[in-house]
Amino acid sequence: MQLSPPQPVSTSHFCVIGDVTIHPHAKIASGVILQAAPQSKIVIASGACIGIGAVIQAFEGTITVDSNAVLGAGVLVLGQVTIGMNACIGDCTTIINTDIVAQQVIPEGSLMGDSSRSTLDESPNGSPLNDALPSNPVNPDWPSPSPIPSPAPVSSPQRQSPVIGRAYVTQMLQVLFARNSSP
Amino acid sequence: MIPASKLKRKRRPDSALGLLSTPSFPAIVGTADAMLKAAEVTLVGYEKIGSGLCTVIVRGNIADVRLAVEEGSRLAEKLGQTVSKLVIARPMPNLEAVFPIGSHLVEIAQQQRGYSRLSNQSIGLLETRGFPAMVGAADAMLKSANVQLSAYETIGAGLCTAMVRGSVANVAVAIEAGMFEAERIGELNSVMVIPRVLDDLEAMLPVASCWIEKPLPLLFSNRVKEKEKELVPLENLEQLSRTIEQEPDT
Repeated sequence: MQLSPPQPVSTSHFCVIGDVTIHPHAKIASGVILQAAPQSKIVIASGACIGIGAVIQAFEGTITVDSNAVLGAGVLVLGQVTIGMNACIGDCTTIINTDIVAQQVIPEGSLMGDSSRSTLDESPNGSPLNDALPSNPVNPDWPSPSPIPSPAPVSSPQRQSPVIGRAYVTQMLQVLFARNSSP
Repeated sequence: MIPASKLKRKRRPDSALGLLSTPSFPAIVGTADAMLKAAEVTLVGYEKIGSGLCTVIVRGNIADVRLAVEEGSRLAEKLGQTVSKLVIARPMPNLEAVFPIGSHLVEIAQQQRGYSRLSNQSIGLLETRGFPAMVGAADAMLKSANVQLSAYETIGAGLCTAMVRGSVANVAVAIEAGMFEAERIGELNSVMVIPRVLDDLEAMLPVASCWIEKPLPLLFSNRVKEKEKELVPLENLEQLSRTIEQEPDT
């Protein structure tokens, strides 16, 4: 999918509003908006790269961009987000209130952490618990290297203690019916 | 029908005592199964002391009992249970008089019971916290595979266990269906599948009375008496005279 690069607000410098800490070795492109609401802050670590036209808006929390992370052009980061070290966020991606694991690669045009809409072109998941996980990339074909942890609480109630003997019975079922994935 | 001679167990003198306790009924049946298959011990029974704690009691030689208790506790730890276990090499007779640990209890229990129509099939156990969850799960189990619901057991602390019998594939599928249903309705606590049930374990499992066949005594209204034959004295054969007719030679 070819996305045209966004037109930046300014061609010469970027905009900083509120409590924003930028390491001297971080690189911010022109036209970037870094806005921290009151009681929130933004921390950009050393070596991080923020692409042209990105908007990072901290709200009720801290946005942390760890060292050597790369945010593509036009990326929108909202709320409380931690982008792990060496992560690579594709162009025009939106990240809302979710953490990005270190060294993760997010394809361009992704939507992370938004549970307000259902994505109909998702590949069906076998386990019923997967429906409760809100963060799923819009692009299902891209092989995501690791599952994205969501700080939002899972809707289905979790048991405090595991069911005794479930692993035993599940293993027996795998042997009996030659399944690869446990139910 | 099992012949009466097979039902009576040959009684060895009780020597060592082994006890293993877990807080769940399917787990205790699974550990009892592991113990019986690990060494030659006699399963005396289960002791439920309330609040969900069950203890399995075995007797036998000290080496067998040690092996069995070790194997049972290994399985229980694999299931994630902290157990309390005990091995006494030679318990005092006073203990046996008071606690239910003697192997004579095995014979007594068997005499009272009779023969179950569901014996020698694989068994699946599903334990929930709450009665509706167990009933719903039992219904789901019966509708999902060719199994029979043999009994249910309550051990306290709200824990109740449903037991289904059938072939091992049917039981496994039924338990899987029951697990989902129980989690949907209430709280699932424990599951277990035992593919092959030994005779000792079979005798100690609870069975609902509808499955038990007791041999009925044959009913006769009166004892049939044979009529005594009257004895007639024979003639004195020596006194008889007999003429021998000579046959003409031809």
